[in-house]
This record gives sequence, structure tokens and C-alpha cells, in this order.
Amino acid sequence: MLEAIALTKNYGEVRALRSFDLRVNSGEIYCLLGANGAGKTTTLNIFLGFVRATSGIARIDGIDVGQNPTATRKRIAYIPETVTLYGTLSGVENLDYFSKLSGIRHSVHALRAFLEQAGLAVDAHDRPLQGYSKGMRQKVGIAIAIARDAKVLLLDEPTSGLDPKASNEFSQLILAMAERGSAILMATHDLFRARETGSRIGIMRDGSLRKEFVAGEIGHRDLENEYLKTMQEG
Amino acid sequence: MRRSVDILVSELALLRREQILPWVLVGLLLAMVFAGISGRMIVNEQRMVAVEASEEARALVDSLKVQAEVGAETSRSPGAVAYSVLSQPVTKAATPLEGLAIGQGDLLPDTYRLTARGAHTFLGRTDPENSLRLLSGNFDVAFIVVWVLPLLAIGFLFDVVAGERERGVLWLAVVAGASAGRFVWHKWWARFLLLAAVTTVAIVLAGLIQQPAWTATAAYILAGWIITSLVYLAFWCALALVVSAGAGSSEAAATRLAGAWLAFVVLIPAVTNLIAGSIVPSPSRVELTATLREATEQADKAIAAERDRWFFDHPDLQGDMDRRAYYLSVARSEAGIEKIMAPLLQEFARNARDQQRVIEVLKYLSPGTLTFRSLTALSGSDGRLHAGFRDAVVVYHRAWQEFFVKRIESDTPLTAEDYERLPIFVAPQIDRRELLVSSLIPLLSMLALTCLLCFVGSRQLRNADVIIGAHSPGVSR
Amino acid sequence: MIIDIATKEFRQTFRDGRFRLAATLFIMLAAIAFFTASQRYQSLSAERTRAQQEVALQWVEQGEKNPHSAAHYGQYAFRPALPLAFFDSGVQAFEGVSIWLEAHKRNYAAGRPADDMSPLASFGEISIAYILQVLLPLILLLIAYPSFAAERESGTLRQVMASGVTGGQLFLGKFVGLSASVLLLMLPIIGICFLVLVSTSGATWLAHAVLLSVLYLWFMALLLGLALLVSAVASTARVALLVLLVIWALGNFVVPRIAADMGRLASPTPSADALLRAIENDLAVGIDGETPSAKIEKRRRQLHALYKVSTDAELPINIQGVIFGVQDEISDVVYDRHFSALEAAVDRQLDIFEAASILSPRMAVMLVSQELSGTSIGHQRQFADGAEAFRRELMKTLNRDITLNSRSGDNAYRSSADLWREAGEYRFVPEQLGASIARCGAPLTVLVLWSLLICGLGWGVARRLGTVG
Repeated sequence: MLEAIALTKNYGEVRALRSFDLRVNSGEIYCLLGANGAGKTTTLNIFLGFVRATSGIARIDGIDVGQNPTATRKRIAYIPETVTLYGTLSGVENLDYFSKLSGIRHSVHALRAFLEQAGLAVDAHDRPLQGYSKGMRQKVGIAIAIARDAKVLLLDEPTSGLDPKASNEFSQLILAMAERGSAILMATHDLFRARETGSRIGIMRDGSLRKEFVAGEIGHRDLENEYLKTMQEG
Repeated sequence: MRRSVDILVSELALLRREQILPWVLVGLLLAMVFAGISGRMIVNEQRMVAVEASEEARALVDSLKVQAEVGAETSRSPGAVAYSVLSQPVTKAATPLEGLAIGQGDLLPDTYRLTARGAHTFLGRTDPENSLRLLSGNFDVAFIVVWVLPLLAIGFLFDVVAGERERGVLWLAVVAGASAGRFVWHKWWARFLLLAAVTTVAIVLAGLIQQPAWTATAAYILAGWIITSLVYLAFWCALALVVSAGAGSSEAAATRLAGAWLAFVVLIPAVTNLIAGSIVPSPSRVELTATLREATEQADKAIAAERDRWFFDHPDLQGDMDRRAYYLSVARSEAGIEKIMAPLLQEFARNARDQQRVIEVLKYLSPGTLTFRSLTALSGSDGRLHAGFRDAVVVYHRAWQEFFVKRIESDTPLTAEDYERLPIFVAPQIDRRELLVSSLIPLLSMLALTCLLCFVGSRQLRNADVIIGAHSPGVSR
Repeated sequence: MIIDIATKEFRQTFRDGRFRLAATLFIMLAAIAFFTASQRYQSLSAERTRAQQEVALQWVEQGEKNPHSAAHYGQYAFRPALPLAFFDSGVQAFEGVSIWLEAHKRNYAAGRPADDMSPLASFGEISIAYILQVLLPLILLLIAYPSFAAERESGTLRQVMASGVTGGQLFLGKFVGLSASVLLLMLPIIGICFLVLVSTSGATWLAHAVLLSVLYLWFMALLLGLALLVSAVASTARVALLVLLVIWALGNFVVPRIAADMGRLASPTPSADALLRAIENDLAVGIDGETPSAKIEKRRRQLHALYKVSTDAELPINIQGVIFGVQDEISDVVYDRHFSALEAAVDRQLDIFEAASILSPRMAVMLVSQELSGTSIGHQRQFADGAEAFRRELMKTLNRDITLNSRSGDNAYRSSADLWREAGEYRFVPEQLGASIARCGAPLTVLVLWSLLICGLGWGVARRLGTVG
């Protein structure tokens, strides 16, 4: 479970987050929408422990992130906008490495199974990552999350640069992970994908959450209108 | 033309905004000035020693002349004066701007103090030195030009193509209607001109610090320094352009250029040094020492035998051998030793000349070696002027010996007029024509190589891959 | 965890084309250096051993002569090529190889090999030590500079940190992994050096070789730490590379020369001419306020009083031997004074060089390496001092022979091979390891300070790896 309680972050005069509250339960996919500079990445960075909140609390599974960043990271899987990993290592080797970093050891057979589960073609498993497409790298990122059996998943613009087919495949994988009980927070510009994938959708602006919807209760067009209205508000 | 000037000016303005660049250029200027001052102090110190020695010798000669006039025995004895009293310092001709490149100046003596004894008694003498300092080398202007200037060129230009491609600027410029070649060349020229201007100013300052007598030769040498340094700088700038255009990223370009610097400035010259030493191995100083010892021993035995013979022939004269006979035997002894030692010493001189010849061919393997040789040649510290000086000293020494030995043999006492007629040493001067001939081919070679690199660079800039990057992520073809 | 990170780093480095290319070049150069250095060492060693034996034979077989003639004939001391000179030739090329041990005169070593070197000698020699001090560090920084900086740029570092690994674990893991890559290059070279050393000189210099190995491993560890530090702090991989290249170039080529030149300007050494003239002046003036002739006269009177005689001819000893002794006493003091002043001037230059090594750990390593290899200025001095000590004893023996075995005015006195053998021949005795290490205080302190600095900064940087702001 993910929790943000009155989370505030100031960078000098700039207020990146203003008393931000959020709760994502197990099995939920929360999609955070907002323009550049809205505070989405800052929120993710605080949950990742890369940034210290000015005030407020961020918790993962009840553990205060600010107090125990290392412990909370062990419960998180993180997929950035561009999954680069190590180009000279193969998919299997990258997965093996990142699993070991989390303190988990899997057999090669298990690693291949995770990659397959993530949708990566078998013939790509042993090729160096520098020859992978963006979509293929994304799948390795997901395989890492699966291999870690992380209960919390943080995604930062995961479908940026993916073609519709790859984007759809990604959504299916995320939904499958949510069904397995993971709490997923996804920062995105992709309104369509947010509506298709998310359980709940939040629209951020200027560091605060302006509106929140249940995904199933709002249509694509209405979501778009709400989003634009929020962006145009004073 | 006007457009080109405008673009150049904009580039220079852009460069001014780079915070670290002005400091780097100031650093280069200060380093050259420091090197110039250091070089000048070293040269002055050497000249002072030579001047002191010369003045002292002159004073001694004057004193002997006065004593000869009043009939003092020692001053009239050619043997005593030749072998015990008088030693003549001879100094290599000073070169304008020699402080800019110490070169072999630290190792090869610029003053010999000769006597009528064999040449081996003075040719091998060296000044006591800090060997760690000799190992480290000098921080002179030649070092800055050969070693440091290329690093600055690399620093300024390694990303002139690769960096602009990574930033997407090159693509934007081409899409906006500029030719990639023109766009890049303007950047190149701005950087090269800036570096060239600072280098020229720095060399002129360092040259002025030497306080040379401003003759045509001095002006020629300074011009030679500036042109050689600028051509060398142009080579590195051109190489940076070619490598930057061919590299996949600015990092790769920097790495390759660092490798090129290592190869051209460090490794190839060191390997050339090794090859020269292998093709023309030095004669053994240990063998020279052993031969000298043996020759001296034989000569001593000959003197002893001669002395015994003399006493046998003059049983009535107990005690001292007469002076003439004694000094005659010394002269013969020295001649005997020299006869044995001369071929060995010539072997060393020949070895030095042969090494010079080998280096003159092998220097074309590396622009670093080529430039270093040119700069040290201009400053007279490449060993060739010293070789000429050494040869002249050997000839002069023979004349000096002959002057006294003739008088010993004929038992002619020295007069005041004889002191006026002592042989005078004339040091060979640096020959401007020879310098021109010897520096023209290396200069033209470097220029040709630079032009070739510029041509290659221009061709590369016509290739679309160079502009947009063959393996840029996110680029669909 | 650290081992996992290290394994990954090692694997990545090994697959990197740049590393393979650099390693190939490194091995080629090391092979050239090994071959040429070994050849040179063997040839020099044989030549000098032969020469020393020849002069010893010449000394014993010089035939009958007056001992004072033999004193002027003298002996020669040749500096042998010590076993580890093939590894680090140090300052040997710029120091004289032989000293003439003659009566009344202390000579400094003559026959500098550098005088006969090619005009490109200032570009340096490719020795094994040079490769380890200059080239291997370059390879090291080329493989280490992207460690953190490139990962930060690509975003991989965020993913790694997000996995729950601490900054310290990551730093150590990369350090261990990259060390393994560097050791892959270093250890074969060290191993071959040990083999060559043992085959040429047995176990005598083994301790020196072990310490040299430790020194170079320490140096690599230090540089690796520095490279990782710069990589962790630099904003981009490009900046990290440039900074490290500048540090490498300055530390290897610029700082040593500036330090050497500043030392020369601050504490110049006299020219041979000036030194000779100063010595000649002092010899003429004498010591303790007494001219040489006064001192000799005083000694003469003392002997006349002791033996209760009034002329030299009445003495039961040959006063000429005593006079030679007095002359040697005076010359010893005068030469000691001037040679000490010369050494002091060089020492001041060395102090400046050592002080400057705080800016370049390579300079500190160079100094220690030379001491352990037996090719430092300190070793040259030990050779010169040993030769001088032998010369003085030699002269005392010869003077004593004249004094006790002949009478004043006996110009026909001759000695033979028995005396030459009794006087002995010069034999070089290498100094103890402890004496060499004692001279390494300053450079070792520099290395310790650098290590502490890098450890301290590394710890601070590692802690901050997991944070952005």
C-alpha cells in the first residue's frame, strides 16, 4: 500500500508539492495525470526515497520512506520512462542482476519464465540489451518487477514512445500485476491509457491534487474535458 | 564573407559564455610566461658561469703576460703553463630564444675547459645535477606547445561535431538551411583562431622575456616558433574535427583523441627513442673508462722508462729531470694517450651524429616528435649545434696543444707577445639558411597532413549519418 | 550483494571493446618493455661486473711501483645494475656509472648513459614501471569514468538504487569489480617480474619485489577510488572523462616538470667548474685556520719531537707517507664540505619535488618505486659514499706502507702485489631494505593522505548516491 499524507516539497521558492494526499491500496492502479512540472515525478521521487519531503509523510506498507528509504525500496519495483539497463548484458543477465540487487536469487529457468511472462520473445532473452527496442526494454523492466514480486509498483511515463500495440501489451501486464495484489502508482500524460488501465485517476496541477475520479465512472471524452479544464483553471 | 564574419563573431560570443574556457586560456598564457621566465633563468645561469669562467681566464692570461714581461719563470715555461697553469674555457654560441626549448641543453655542456692535456680530460666532464630533475624534464615553452597545446585543442574541439549532433543542434541548423560543413567549420575556425591568437601572444611574450638581441636571426627564430606551433595546433584541431565527426558520441570522440594524444605525444616518441637506441647503440662508457685507464697506465710507464733513461744518461744530475725534458715527456705521454683515446671519442661523436640522422627520419612517425625537433632546432638545443660546437672545440684544442707543444719541443720560452697570440675560439653560430632548409620539409609535411585531415573532415560532414547519427535512439528511418 | 555488483562490473568491462583494445595495447607495450629492459639489464650487469673484475685484476697486476704512484693510479668503482633495475630504471640513466678512486681527490660519478642517448630522451623510456604508473592508470580511468556518471545519465542508476541497494554497497561493488579487471592486467606482469627476478638473483630482492607489488596495487586502488569518486560526482559521463583526463595529464606530465624546475630555481647546483674552483681554493687555504704547509710543518715538528730528532732523515719512518696522510686529511674535509653542500642543494630540490607530490600521487609512487628498485638518488649516494669510504681506507693503507716500510728520501721504494692485495679491491654492498624505506617517509605520507581523502570523500559521496535533493 502507498500512502502520502500532507506531503510537501519546496525547492527554494518553488513549491513542487503542496500538502499532497494520496492512498493507493493493494490491487489498485492509480494514474496520476498532469502537465510537466505538476509534481508527478517529485511524488515518485519521494516514494523512491530519492528526495526528502519538506513536510508530510510518505509510507509504503506502513513504513515511513523518509526514515527508511532502503527498507522501502526493497518493497518497490520502479519502471522509468526509458528503461536503459545495461546494454552489454543480455535480458536474462540484466534480470538476474537486478533480482540479486533486491536480495533475491532465481534460477535461470525462473528468470526466463519471468521474461516470458513479461512478453519478451524467447529468442531475445540472450541477446545484448543494446539491440532491444524500447518496448522490449520495457518488458525487461516489467520482468524485473515480476521477479521481485514487488507489492508496490511505481511507473513514470511508462508508455511514452511506445507504439499502440506495445502500449496495449503493457497495460495488460500491469492489470495482471494489480490482480496479483500489487499497488500501482502510474504517472502519465496518456489520458487514454490512464482511463483504460487505471482504477482511479488523479489530476495534478501546481503540486496539488485537483480532481480525482474512479476510472470506470468517467468516459474518455469527459476525462479529457476535465483534464483541460483543470489545466486552464487559475 | 560578411555572413561568415558574423557567424564567427557569434561563435566567439558563445565561447565567451563558457565559464571555464577563459580560465583555460589565461592558464595557458600564464604557463607560457612562467615557462619563459624559467627558461630565461636557466639560460642566464649557464651564461653567467661561462662569462665568469671567461673573465677569470682572461685575467689569468693578463697576469701571466705581465709576469712574462718581468721574466717570471713559470709564466715563461710553455710546459708549466700548458699542463699546470692555464685552462681555456670555450663556450657554445648563445642562440636567441634558447630559453624557449631547453632540449638537450641540460645534458650537453655548453662550456668546456680545455688544457693542453688530452681531449678526454674535458670532453666527458659534466656538471653535478639533480638526476630526478633530469628524469622529469623541463617545463619549458616547447613542452607546453608539444604536450599541453594538443590537450587544449582536444578540449575545445572534441565535441565540435559529436556534441552538436547529440544536442540536436546540427540537425536543426541543417533543417534551417545551413550546410553542415559550413556550420561546423565556422565553429572550428572560431575555436582555432582563439587558441591560435592566445598561443601567438603567449609565444611572443615568452620570447620577449628571453630579452634576445633583436637581430634578423632572432626575429626569424621567433617567427619560426610561432608558425611551427600554429601548424601543430592546426593539426590537432583538424584531427579533433575528423575524430569528432566519425565518433558515435562526444565521449567516444574524447576517448579516441586521448588515445591519439597518448600515441603521438607519449608512446611513439618513446618508441622512436628506443628504436634509435637499438639501431645506433651507444658505445660503452665503461669500456671507455677501462681503455683510458689502460692507456694512462701505459703512458705512465713510458714516462717512467724515459725518466730512468734520462737519469741513466745524466748520472751527474741527481734529483729533478730538467723541465724541458720533463714537459716533453708529458707531451709525448699525452699524445700517446690521445692516440689511443681519439678513435673511441670519435666513436661517441659519430654515434651522436648517427642517432641524429636516424631521428631525422623517424621523427615523421609522430607530429609530436616532428614539432619537438623543429622547436629545439630553432632554439639550438636539438644537439646539432652542440655537435658542431664539439667538433670546433676538438679542432681548436689541437691548435691550442700545437701552440704549446711547438714551444716545448723547441724549448722556446713564452713571451708577452705569445700571450697576445694565443689561439682564439670561434663558436659556430646557428645558421639561418640551414634552419630554413631543415625546418621547411617538416613544416610542409605537417601542413600537408593537416590539409588532408581538413579535407577528410569536409567529406565526412557531407555524410547524413554524421549529422543525424547512424545509431541515434529514437530515430526511425 | 557486493560480489554480485562486482561480478556484473567485471563482466561488463570485459565485454567492453575499449577495454579489450586498451588491454591489447597494454600487453604489447608491456612485452616490449619487458624484452628491452631485460636485455638492457643483462647486458649492463654483465658489462659492469666484467669491468669491475678487470680493474680489480689491473690493480693487483699493476706490477711493482711506489705506493703513492699506485694511489694515483687508483681503482675504479662501477655501479652495478641491481636486479630490480629492469623493472624501474629510475634515475640511473642520469647518474654516472663509475667513480675514479684516486689519491687526494674525491671524484663524482662519471659516464652518464643519458649523455649518449638520442635527442628524444626527454620523451622518456617505456619501462615496466612507466607502464604501471602512466598507461595502466589511463586504462583504469577509461573503464571507470562511466561507472556512475553514464548510469546516472541513462537513468539506470535510479533503477539500481530503487532496487534497495545502498550507496556504499554500490560503490564498493563497483570498486571490487573494476579492481578485478585491472588486476587481470597487473597480476600477470607482477608475476612475470617475480619470475624474472628470482631467476636472475634468487631470493635476495624478493622482499623489495613484494613491497613494490603492494605499492602498485595500492596506487591502482587509490586511482580507482578517485575515478569512481569523480564519476559519482560529475554531472555527465563526458565531464567525468574530461576531469579525469586532465587530472591524469597534469599529474603525470605537468606537475613533475614544474616541481623539478621550481626546485632548480630555488636551489641551484653549482657547475663543475665552480665546484672545482671552490674546492681548489679551499685546499689552498686549508682547514681549522691552518694552511696545508703549516699543518704539514706542525706534524713534522711533532714527529721530530716524538722521535727526538732534528731532521727528516733521522726519523725511523718515512715522513712523506705522513705528509700524504695530512694532505688526505685536508682534502677529505674540504671535499666533504663541498659534496655535502652539493647534496644539500639537491636535497632541497627533492624536498620541493616531494612537497609537490601532494598534487600528484604518481610522483609519490615514482619516488617509492625507485627506492625499492634500487635506482633512486639515495642509492646512487649510497654507492658513492661506499666508494669514497673504500678510497679513504685504500689511501690510508698505501700511506701507512710508505710511512712504515721506507725511510725519508727513499725515492726508490717499491711495493708489490702483496700490498695491492692487502689494500683490497672495491666491492659494492647494496644497502638494507630498511634504509631505502626510511627515505620514503614523505611520499608514503602523501599516499596515506590521498587514501584517507578518497576514502572519506567516497564514503560521503556513497551516502548521497540515493538522494537527489
